[in-house]
Amino acid sequence: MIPVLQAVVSRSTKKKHTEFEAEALPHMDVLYNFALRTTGNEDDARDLLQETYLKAYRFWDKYEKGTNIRAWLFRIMKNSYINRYRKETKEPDKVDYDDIENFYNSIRAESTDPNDLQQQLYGNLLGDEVTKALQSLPDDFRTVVILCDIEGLTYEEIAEFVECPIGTVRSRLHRGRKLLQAKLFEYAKQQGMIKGD
Amino acid sequence: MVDCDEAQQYAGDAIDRSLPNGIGKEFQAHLEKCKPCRREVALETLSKHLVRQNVKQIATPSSIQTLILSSLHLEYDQGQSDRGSWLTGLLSLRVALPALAGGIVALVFFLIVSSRTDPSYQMTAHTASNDIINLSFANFALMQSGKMQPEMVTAAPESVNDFFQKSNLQFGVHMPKLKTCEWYGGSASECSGVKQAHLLYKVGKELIYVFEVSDDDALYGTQVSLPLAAKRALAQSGWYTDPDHPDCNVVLWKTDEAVCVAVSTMKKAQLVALLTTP
Repeated sequence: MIPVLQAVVSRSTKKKHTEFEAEALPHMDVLYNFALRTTGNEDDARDLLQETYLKAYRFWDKYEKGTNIRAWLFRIMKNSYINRYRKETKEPDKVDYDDIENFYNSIRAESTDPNDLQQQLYGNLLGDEVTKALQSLPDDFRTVVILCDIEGLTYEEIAEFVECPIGTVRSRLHRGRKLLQAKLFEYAKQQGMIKGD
Repeated sequence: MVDCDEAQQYAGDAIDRSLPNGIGKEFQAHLEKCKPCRREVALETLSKHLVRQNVKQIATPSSIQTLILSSLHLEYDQGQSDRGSWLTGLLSLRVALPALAGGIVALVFFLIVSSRTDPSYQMTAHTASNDIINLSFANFALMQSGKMQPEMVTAAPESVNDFFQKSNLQFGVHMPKLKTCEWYGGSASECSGVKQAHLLYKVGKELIYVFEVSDDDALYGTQVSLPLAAKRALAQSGWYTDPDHPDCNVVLWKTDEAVCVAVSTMKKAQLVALLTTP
């Protein structure tokens, strides 16, 4: 190539690279955690994170400067996840809401203090079990629970990330939390940490 | 008044502190009267509490950070060659108006000659051996032992500036002027095509060594590199202190043309204060 053109191409590519590193790389930890919670293992999380960053880099020209970069990266990760993992799933996750309601109706929790409730319902449950229970939630529910309860995003931000109305976010969050509790309660019963009815 | 259905609907908002304006008092009033709703809110609060308490944030492992960075570097290199092929192909078609092509080339030529010499911008993966921070530590140890000595020593900082201006380093050496400094030392060198500046400060009983290379070499070069965390911090704030070497007290900063690494036995906070005081 003509040396002068080579220099121009280098300059343009360098600018893009510098901008990308400054804007996108600081969000690596939050993306990695999301990937880890979503895929459930480090290998898949690594692949998903790598795919996300490569796609983001290739389409950096499409990113509208000054808008929410984290939301943009999350959307790329979500779409990558759907393409990579969900295409192998023939049917969407099914949730038996009756089971959840039965759990809520059956527990004899008289206290409304969260600490008392925790001991009463889950005994000395360890963090690993909570992580496993979170992992077992259907994708849509797990996503909003992670974004709200771990990442601390507002409903508006989550709605932007998952491209759903706020009402849907609210509903998924409510159901996701209930489902999580039902799973933890069942696990605690199986482990003999509590007396289940 | 908020009824049970509405209380259920707003339970999540209350827990996440996003209740609509004007609903809060009515919601609380309902909870005080309604035990089932109180329990519902308590259970949902417990769920959030359990997740927050037990699911910890994990830092991206350094091996994955390196992998991502390497992938991006490959993309960067690929992007250069792809664009180059495209431009070459376009020119080889000979369908573009010669005058337009001539104008573009003239404009490009003007831009290039009016700027500094253009490096190749080939990047390399970061390793311990090409890590600028490690090189700085090694140089500092050589300075302390006397095996590496500055080419010039002076009590006048202006003389050090003059020395570097005559050294043809092709980047502006940044020289912090320290009020309490007894003497200054300076050296210029070149290793594998990377031009380097070495500054030495004697402050009381302490030595401060500053290693400088051009930002192109530090951030995009083939011979030296920086950890991802350092690149991130320099891009964001212009400053970085390395948490992996808590006792070595290293501080990095970036200027328009150079990346500078200061190493000292001085306490890190004291070193930062000294370097950042105008």
